[in-house]
Amino acid sequence: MSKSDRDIHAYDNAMKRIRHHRKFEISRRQMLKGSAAALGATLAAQFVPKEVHAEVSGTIVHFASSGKRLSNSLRAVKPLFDKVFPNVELEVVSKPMTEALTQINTYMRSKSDAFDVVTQDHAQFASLDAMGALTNLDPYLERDSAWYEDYQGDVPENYRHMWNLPKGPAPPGWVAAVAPDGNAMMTFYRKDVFDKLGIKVPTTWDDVIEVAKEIHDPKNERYAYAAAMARNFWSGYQFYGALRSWGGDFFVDERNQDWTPACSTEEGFQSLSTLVELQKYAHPVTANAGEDEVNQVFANGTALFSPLSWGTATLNDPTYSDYHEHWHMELSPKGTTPKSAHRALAGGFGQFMPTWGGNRETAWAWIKFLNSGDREDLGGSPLIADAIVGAGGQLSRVSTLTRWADRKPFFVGLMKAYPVSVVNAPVIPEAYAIMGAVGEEVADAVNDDQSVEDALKACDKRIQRLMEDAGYYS
Amino acid sequence: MTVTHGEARLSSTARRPSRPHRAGAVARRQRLVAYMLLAPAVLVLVVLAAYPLVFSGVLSFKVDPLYNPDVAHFIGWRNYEDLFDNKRFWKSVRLTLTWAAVVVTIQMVLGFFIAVLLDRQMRGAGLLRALFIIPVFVSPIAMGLTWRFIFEPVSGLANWILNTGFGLEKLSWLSHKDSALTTLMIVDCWQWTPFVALILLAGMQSISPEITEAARLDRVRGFTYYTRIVIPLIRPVIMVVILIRLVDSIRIFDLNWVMTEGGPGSATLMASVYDYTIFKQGHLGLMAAYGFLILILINIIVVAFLNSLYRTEKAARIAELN
Repeated sequence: MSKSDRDIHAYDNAMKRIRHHRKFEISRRQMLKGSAAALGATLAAQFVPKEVHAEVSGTIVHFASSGKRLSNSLRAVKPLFDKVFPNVELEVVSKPMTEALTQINTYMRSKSDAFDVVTQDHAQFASLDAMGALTNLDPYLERDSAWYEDYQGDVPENYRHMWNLPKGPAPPGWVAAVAPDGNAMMTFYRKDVFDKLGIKVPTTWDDVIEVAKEIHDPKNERYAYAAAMARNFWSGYQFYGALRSWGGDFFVDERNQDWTPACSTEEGFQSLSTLVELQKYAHPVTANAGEDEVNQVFANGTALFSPLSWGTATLNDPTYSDYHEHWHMELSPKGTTPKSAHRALAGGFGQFMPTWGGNRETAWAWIKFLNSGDREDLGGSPLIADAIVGAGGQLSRVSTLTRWADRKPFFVGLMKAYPVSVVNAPVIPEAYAIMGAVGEEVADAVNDDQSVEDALKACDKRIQRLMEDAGYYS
Repeated sequence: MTVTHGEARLSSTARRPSRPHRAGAVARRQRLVAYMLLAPAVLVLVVLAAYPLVFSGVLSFKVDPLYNPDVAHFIGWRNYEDLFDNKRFWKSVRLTLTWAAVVVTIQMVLGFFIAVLLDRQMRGAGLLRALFIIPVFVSPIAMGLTWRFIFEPVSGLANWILNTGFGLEKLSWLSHKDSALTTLMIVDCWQWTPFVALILLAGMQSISPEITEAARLDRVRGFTYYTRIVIPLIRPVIMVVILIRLVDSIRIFDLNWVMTEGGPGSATLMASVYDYTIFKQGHLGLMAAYGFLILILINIIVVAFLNSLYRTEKAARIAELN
C-alpha cells in the first residue's frame, strides 16, 4: 500500500469513528455538566491520599459563578476531596457570572447563612468588607503555617495581597480570602495569522490600530478585533484597561485618597478614542458582547485579535476550539506618553468564608484542599491542580502554570502578566457601581450615541455623584 | 324573692332591645364575620403587596447602595430629580412607549387577520390552532437564547438563510444599534401574535349565528362585514387584549434582558431592563424611584383604557335602548 493509500485508509477509518461517535452524541450542556465530575473521578482513581480525615464532618455549601473556570473546577476537585474527607457533604451552587456577582452582594447584604464558602470577583471585595461579610483567615493560616508558607511562595504577592484588609499603603493587613484563581487582561492574537502576514504583536495603541487595519478581512468573515463591549461593567473594564495603560486612573490619586474623578483627561481621551476607532474593525458581536461572546468568536475563528481581553484558558483546549494551538497571549499594549506602561488589569476570584456561614473548620479544610499545591506532605497533590486545569480553571499558583505551560499558551501569558498586574478596579465599595456607570457611557460612545468628550465628562459627573453620596468629600 | 321561670322570661322580654337595635347588633355581628373572613386575604395583601410598596416608596427617597449599607441616608426627591435629568431615563421611556405602540399594533393587526383565517370552516383548523399557540407557552428565556443564536451576525441561521437562500447581504440584527430594537420586535410578535389571534378568534366565535346569518342575507360581506359587524361586536374583547398586551409590553424584561441586555450601547434599553441595570449597579433608592414611575405609567394607561372601555360599553347600551 502506498503512502497516499494509507492516508486515505486512515482518513476513512477516522470518518467511520466520527460517524460512530455521532450516533451516541450528547448535548454540549450534558457533556460540560458531566465532564468535570468525570475528570475528577478519573483523577480520584489515581489519587492515593496520604491522610484521610474522617474526623472532619458536616455539610458545606460553596457558591461560585457557573462555567468551566469556576464551578466546574470545584466539581472536578470534589471526587478527590471526598476521598480525603469521606464524612463531608459538599454542595456546589452556581449561577451565571453576570448574575452571580450581584446575587452574592444581595445574599451578603441580607446576612444570609446560605453559603459556607463563596468564590467572588475582586471588584466586589471592598463592598463585601463594607457589609461585614468577610472572615479573618489569619487564625487559620497561623495554625497551618507550613501550608501558608508554601502558598505564599507560589502565588505572586500582588495577587495574594489583593485579598488582604485593610487596604492601603501598608499591606498585608489581615487575609480575608485565598486566591486560587488568577487572571489578567491581556492581548489575545492568532499566532498563525500574525506569522503568515509577518506582523508583530502590537505593543502600543498606535500599533494596535495599524495591525487591526492590516488583518481586517470582513469579506472572508475574519474580523480584526473583538472585545467585551456590552454596556455596563464589561465596557467599563475595556476603558479602565486602556486608561491604566496610558497612565490614567478613575481618580487623581487613589493611594493618597484624592478622590477627584479623572476620566476627562488626556489619558482618558486617548483611551476612549482608541476604543471608538477600533470599533471600525470589530467583529459584529463586539458592540454588545460580554466575555462569553468574545471567547466564542475567538474559538470559531471569526475574530483574530483583541488588545484587551480576559479570555479563558479553554481557548487552548482542543475540545473548545479548532484554533486552540494558535491562540497566544501577550502583555496588553501601552500608550505613548511618559506615564504609559504595560499594566495588566489583575482579574481573579477569591474564596472567602462569609461571616454568617457555618461549619468553619470543614469550610477551611475545603478551601485549603482547593488551594493546595503539589506538596503531598502538606496535604496537596499535583492531581488537585490538574483536576482544576483539566476542567477549565486557571490557577494563581505559578508552579501549576509552569507545569502546564507547554500545553496552555494562556498560562504563559498569565505568567508574563502577573508581575505587571494592577488591581482591576478602585478598592472601594463603590468600585462595581463606578465600573457600571463608566461602562454605560463608554458603550454609548463606542456605538456613536455620544462623543468621546461628552462620555468622559459624564463618567466624571457620575463618579463624583457616587463618591459624594458615600461621603468621600465631606 | 323567687322569680318564676315565666316571670324571668317576661322580664327578659321586657328588657329586650327594640327591633332596630337588634338589627344593628346582627349587622355588627355580620360585619365582624365578614372582617374575619376577609382578614387572611387582607393580611396576605398587606404582606405581599402593601408592605413592599410602602418599603419601595420609602426607599425611593434614599441613597441606599446595595454594596455599602453604612452610607444609606434620606435625600428627599433627589432620586426622582436625577431620573428626570438623565437622558438615559428619557430614552428608556421613549423606547418603551415606542416598543409598546409598535408591537401591540402589529400583534393586533396580524392577530386579527390570523383570527379571520382560523375562523373559517376548514380541515385541520383545530390542529392549526393547537400548533399556533405553542410560542405562547415557550419559556421567554429559552426562546430568547434560541433567537439570539438564530440572529448571531456571522454564523446565525437568519443570516445563513438570507445569504445562502436569497443571496442577500448579511444583517447585523441584534449587533447594531439601528436594527436591534426591530429584531426584538420581530421575536416578540412571533411569540405574542398567536395569543392575540386566539383571543380574537374566541370573540369572533361568540358572535351569535343569527347576526352572521342576517348579515349574509343582507349581503354584508368582506371588509364591510368585519368593520361594521365583527369589530363593533368584539370591541370589548379587543380592548381587553390591547390592555393585556400593552401592560405586558411596557413591562417587557425577560426577552430584552436575554437577547440584548439593553444594548448595543443603550439601543434597546427599555424601562424594566434599565431599572434592573440600576439595581445591578447597587442603587437601590434610584431603582425604587424608577419602579414607582413605571408603576404610575402603567396605571395611567390602564385607567385610560378602562375609561375608554366603559364609555364604549355605555354608548353601545344607549344605542341599544334607542
